[in-house]
Amino acid sequence: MTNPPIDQEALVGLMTQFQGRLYAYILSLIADADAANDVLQETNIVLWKESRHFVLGTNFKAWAFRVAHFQCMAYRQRKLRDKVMFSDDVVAALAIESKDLDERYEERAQALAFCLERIHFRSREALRLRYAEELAVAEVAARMSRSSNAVSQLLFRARQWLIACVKRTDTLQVAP
Amino acid sequence: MNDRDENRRFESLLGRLLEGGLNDEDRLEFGRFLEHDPSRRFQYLDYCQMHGLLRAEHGLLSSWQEFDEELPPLNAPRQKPAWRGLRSLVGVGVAAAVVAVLAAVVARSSRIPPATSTPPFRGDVVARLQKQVDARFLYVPAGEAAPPAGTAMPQGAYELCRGIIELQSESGVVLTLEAPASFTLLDRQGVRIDRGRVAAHVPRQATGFRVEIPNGTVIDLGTDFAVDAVQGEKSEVHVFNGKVQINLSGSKARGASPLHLTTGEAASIDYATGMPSGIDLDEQRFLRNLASTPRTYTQRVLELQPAVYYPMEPASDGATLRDVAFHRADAKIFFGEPRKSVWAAGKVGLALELGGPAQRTYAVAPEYPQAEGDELSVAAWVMAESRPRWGSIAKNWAGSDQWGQFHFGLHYDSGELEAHIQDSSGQEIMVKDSAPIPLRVWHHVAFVADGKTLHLYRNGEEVDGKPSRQLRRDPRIKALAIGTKLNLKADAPDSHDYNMWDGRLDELAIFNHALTPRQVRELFELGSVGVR
Repeated sequence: MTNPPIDQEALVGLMTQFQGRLYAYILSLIADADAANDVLQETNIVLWKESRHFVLGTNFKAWAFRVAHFQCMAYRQRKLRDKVMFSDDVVAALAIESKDLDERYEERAQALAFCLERIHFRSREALRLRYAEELAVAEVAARMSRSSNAVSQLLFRARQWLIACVKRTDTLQVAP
Repeated sequence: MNDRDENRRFESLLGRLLEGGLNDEDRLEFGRFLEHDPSRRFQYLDYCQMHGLLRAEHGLLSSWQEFDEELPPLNAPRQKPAWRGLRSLVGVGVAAAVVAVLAAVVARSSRIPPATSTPPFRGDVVARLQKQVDARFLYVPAGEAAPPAGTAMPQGAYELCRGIIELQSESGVVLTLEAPASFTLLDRQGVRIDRGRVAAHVPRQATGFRVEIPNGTVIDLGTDFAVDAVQGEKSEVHVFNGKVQINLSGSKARGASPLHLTTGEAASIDYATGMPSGIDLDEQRFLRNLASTPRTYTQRVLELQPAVYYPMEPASDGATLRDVAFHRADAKIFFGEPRKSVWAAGKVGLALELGGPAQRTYAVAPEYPQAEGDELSVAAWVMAESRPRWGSIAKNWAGSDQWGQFHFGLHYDSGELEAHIQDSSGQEIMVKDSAPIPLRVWHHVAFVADGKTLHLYRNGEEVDGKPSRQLRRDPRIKALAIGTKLNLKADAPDSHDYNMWDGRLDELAIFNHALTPRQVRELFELGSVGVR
């Protein structure tokens, strides 16, 4: 017996809400930022096509992460021959730990705006160019008159600083 | 490389990971870092999550919202988002986006190879599902959500999201797992538990059975033991009988001597370092089996000819308390929200675990054989987590002014054990302990109306007694409520004070005759010697 047609508006709302969470989960399993984007799109397609299997009010996260997990496994199968991947053991551990970490996603998302306002201006500019302008590191480096290596390090330190900040803000329960 | 150099190398690889700067050798090295050190995995996962958060914050992941007003061509230039506040846009205009999403999905489908759901790995059958109580899997052998008892379980990873299961490995080991649990059946002599509680009974022929936990491997040396695995924190190993060896494998435990535990010992294993710490054995935390083999306590209760007897052994639906006495007056469990498992380690076998007024879970036998004479006895094992107002063990009573045959639980807010009956003159007779019931320990509790006196017992000793003559019952009040008091219509808990029990109830038996003090004492002693 198939489930009644899902409320499409509600499903789109859920899918939109979970894009960042799914992306982070997929990225953690396949460790390739560009490929993670493609796998996320494949996951979205499967979620949409198979929406008849989802019942509103049940655990969307469990369903969506399961589909994402399958897509990651399919990606690994496709890439096994031409790229060195994490071992199955590492992927299994990451899959569990990533889902556990996801429990903090919304809290951290709330804290992120607070932290972005407080980060050093140079780091903020690098982040803006990298994410808002979607520039490659070399392009960011050209805009900021710095070397690519320096920008890579700047972005790495900025992300690390934000991670520490959102964790502190979690603890302090500071309103965004 | 020393620790500092290793850290630098790891950070260098992590930094380049998102910019596509790792070659195959780097990726292999990075994988080795993650394999051997959980703390680096956490660092990596935080880093991935932050990248996802930043992309979402900047609108790079909410393609749904691009098509709010009208559907642009898929190759149209992407509008650059503003610096802040893009998260607030997510969800705006969603209704209009629905059609666009469909179009986008169809359009994308044409350029992305069809995606198929790849089932998880399944190898040889290495175990069988012996029993299950209200179990739900995310991954199961044939894809079903609730496999029945008897299902063959091949090698592979499983997620038990609800209920309790009992597996028997091909080598004869019996594993009892409680949801939520993530585990992998490795082979006929091994299981990995990443999250959740598992108790193992290892027969002699399966000595050497291993349970892999985060940062360690428990190797059986002839034993009953249990594991509580928690990713990212401390996992625990408790040994009830026999002995185990734990090989430590955390980042700081490489080369460390194995840990040996024997009967009555327990240890926690730190996730980050892999180092052990001694802790106290906790027998109450683990469900050790779902077996329905006759037990001494159960046999003795049945010999005493109860009218109803709930040993608190779950039916496979997880929502029925079986009455194993003659009348089969099964009780239905009514779950509160959110629904939680109600099964926990009992004084004898399993127990019904209720969560008080906050949880509002209880059970009801709509009709049960009430005492028609002047004698009545009720006995149970109870463990209270707190003392809710009028916390109920079992009641045939309704509201504050409609009295049924008996009222057995805790007194108002002070929490002493108490029992009420109504005599033939309509007078309410109450007996009450002198001190609040101690929390988080098992007590054998009973009251007996023998036609002359109403006696109250705790742990085999009489703690109060009052004269009482004939026993009265109200024909309108037919239901037996367990863990609450019902309203007069018996369709919901009495809304005044709720009367919910917070803790565990086990071995509830009602006798339509009077137990002697010696029989009450005997039941207490049978349960006290650790009969399971």
